[in-house]
Amino acid sequence: MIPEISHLLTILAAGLFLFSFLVILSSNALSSTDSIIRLSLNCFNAATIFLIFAFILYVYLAVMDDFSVKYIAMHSNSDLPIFYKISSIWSSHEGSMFLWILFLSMWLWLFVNRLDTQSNLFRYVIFFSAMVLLFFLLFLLVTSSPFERILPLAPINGGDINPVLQDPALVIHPPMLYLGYVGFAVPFVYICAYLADGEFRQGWETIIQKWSLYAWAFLTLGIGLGSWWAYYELGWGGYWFWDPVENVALMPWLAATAFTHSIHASTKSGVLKSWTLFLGLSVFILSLFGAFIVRSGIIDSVHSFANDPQRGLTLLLITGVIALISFGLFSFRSTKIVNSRLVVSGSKESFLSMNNILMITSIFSVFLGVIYPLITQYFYSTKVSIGPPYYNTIFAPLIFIAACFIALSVESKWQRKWKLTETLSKLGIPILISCFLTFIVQSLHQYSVSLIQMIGLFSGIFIISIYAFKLLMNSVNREFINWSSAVSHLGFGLLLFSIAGNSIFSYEKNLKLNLNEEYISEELEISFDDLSLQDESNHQRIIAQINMKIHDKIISFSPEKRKYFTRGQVTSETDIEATFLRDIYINIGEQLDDGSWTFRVQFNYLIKWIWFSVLLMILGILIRSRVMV
Amino acid sequence: MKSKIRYIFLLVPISIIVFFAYVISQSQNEASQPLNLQLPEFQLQTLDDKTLSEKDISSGTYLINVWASWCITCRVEHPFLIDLKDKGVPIIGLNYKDNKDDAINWLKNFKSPYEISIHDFYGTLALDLGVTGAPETYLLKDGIIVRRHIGELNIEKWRQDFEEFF
Repeated sequence: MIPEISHLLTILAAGLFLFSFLVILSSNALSSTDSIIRLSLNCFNAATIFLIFAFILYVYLAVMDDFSVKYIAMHSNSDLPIFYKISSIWSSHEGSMFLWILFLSMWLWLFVNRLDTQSNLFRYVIFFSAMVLLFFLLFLLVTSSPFERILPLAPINGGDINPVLQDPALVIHPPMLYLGYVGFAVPFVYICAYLADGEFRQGWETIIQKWSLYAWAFLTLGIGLGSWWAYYELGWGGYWFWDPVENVALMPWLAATAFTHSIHASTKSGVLKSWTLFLGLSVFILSLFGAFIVRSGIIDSVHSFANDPQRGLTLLLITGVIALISFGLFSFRSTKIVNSRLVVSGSKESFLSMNNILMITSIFSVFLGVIYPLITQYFYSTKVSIGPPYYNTIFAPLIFIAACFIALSVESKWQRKWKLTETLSKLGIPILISCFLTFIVQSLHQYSVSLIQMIGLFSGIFIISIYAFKLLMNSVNREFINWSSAVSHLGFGLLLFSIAGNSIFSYEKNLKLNLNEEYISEELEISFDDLSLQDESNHQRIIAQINMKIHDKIISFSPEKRKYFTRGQVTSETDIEATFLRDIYINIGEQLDDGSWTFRVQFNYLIKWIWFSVLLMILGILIRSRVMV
Repeated sequence: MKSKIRYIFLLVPISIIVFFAYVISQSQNEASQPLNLQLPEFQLQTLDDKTLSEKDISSGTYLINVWASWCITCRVEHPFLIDLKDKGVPIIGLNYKDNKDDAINWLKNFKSPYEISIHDFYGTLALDLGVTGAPETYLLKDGIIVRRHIGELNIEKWRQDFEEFF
């Protein structure tokens, strides 16, 4: 009964969004009155509340192990701890789509209820919000219903959540990411409304700026968590793989980053308005594009859901319609947008506009990397794999140019031409510091440093030193410090520095050891001391005991292998000794025929700095949104 | 904005949509391909330094799975291949354009689902087979290739196209 109620509530929500949409559509012809707008707002609110209840009921079903629901039966299990039962909802396509739509409706719900109902744009905002929600609810109900039941005989125990996904990170990584993706629906519907209205009043940027910052923070956190999860829990030995799904998350992130910069310039000095509108639309469209790529299964990826071309076609259709409506509005209406000022060359705005161009270039490069294998596959019948070499080569020069423009923009002023000598004199010290440090690393002979790594290292140190120098000078001179910008850009510089440093300094060793055997080399000694077996509720664990002597310090490790009963899947749990500078990362491999075991030992430098830098960037953005209250 | 430039904002999304619609329609067509091809002649080293030729596998039913250590999807596919191996399905690995040490390490780290793995460094056998990338799976019955699947093999594909042969 409860599954049906949840299903019914979802259908009702779709009906109410449709009604809300139609009310506005018809009211335009009749000249809309206050009561009509009220009516559609009430429908919109009721629909969201229905959807929230439907989801709560669905969570209840998952917690109570109602395996008559096919989706829950396939992805959850009665042995699972309760939070995995809940997170199993978003461990596959149907349920995660449900969550995605729930978040979408909640963001838009919060947004429309804070808007002034008297505003001209209000009805358009409701109109576009209801439209987007309606499309996706129909998609959920028609092609990917999570409410299907197995009747009359329900399985007793259920299938199982994929063991890789039995991890606290799953509980939080997808929700954060979705909150980020769909959060950009707020600027999207507002910009659509603004363009549709066509009166182009001033001051629209401030209404959506804060929302965009929050969405950016969620998106960044979501991507960061995914990366952290791959490294610490999945034992993939790295933090970023240029996997197609990572790339389609990166594209909206780059667009969102450009958008938050561009909207800042628009608010501050009334320039780059078309850019801001265009980027605001692009972020959400790219998020939808990402959803299409992941959920259609046309590109093989670690994150792929089951391949279903029909579903892919429907999603493509929805994304296409939304993209054409919004970009159509943009291309026909934006001719009338007048910037209140012109961009002065050499001013802060001019460098921010360069930032937009660089971001669009990098989005396009990533996009090309994603679709190039498809182009060759379908037009030339050969399949190519585009990996890190492509992206590293593309990004290194872009990042270098970006670093230069960041440097110039820090020392430039709004609406005023720069003074060449003054700017250069301020940049002198940071340039010297970064050249010097890069040179030192380069001359450490035990590491071979490629040009790309050098560019990354230099750009990172350069950005850090610019901001550090600026902070120092401004606090000595008691001048204004833009903490938000300083903190987030320090974070960005640190990110580049740690990525470059990580790729330069890290190394790994593959060992084959018998029990009680020792491996001895110049810098370290490793001994394999014990192996034990343990049974858990749904898996069996093999735990190795490894002791490592490095720099006269003894560290013990206990990497594990787990065999899950329900699916027979085997996973590796790495053991990590994390210090300030580096992680030592041990992975247990297979037992060989002669009884010995293989181990992979990695020395990963500056990994923790990467997570820290991501947090710094988010902190910077949160400072900004506090300032704006 | 110049009036002609504005059309770019429509043309770009439209061409992207058309492209992906084409890709999806193509991928529907190639979902399952019954084939009837002779296994090409070859003589290659395996990862454990034996020599294998087409004559060694000319009788019996095998899966040939194209994989590589650089292939992320192969890792996704891996647990399912292990399931198949445990069910007694003989799988021959075709290690495609891969560094030999990396390949051996990969098998050690993740457990090998393969009876034997051919090391096709230059992709010669793969070229003869018409491999487009990794992973790919072929069904070989008495020296004849009767099925081919591009991309990750999973339980649905297996039931649909392969299971009947075992």
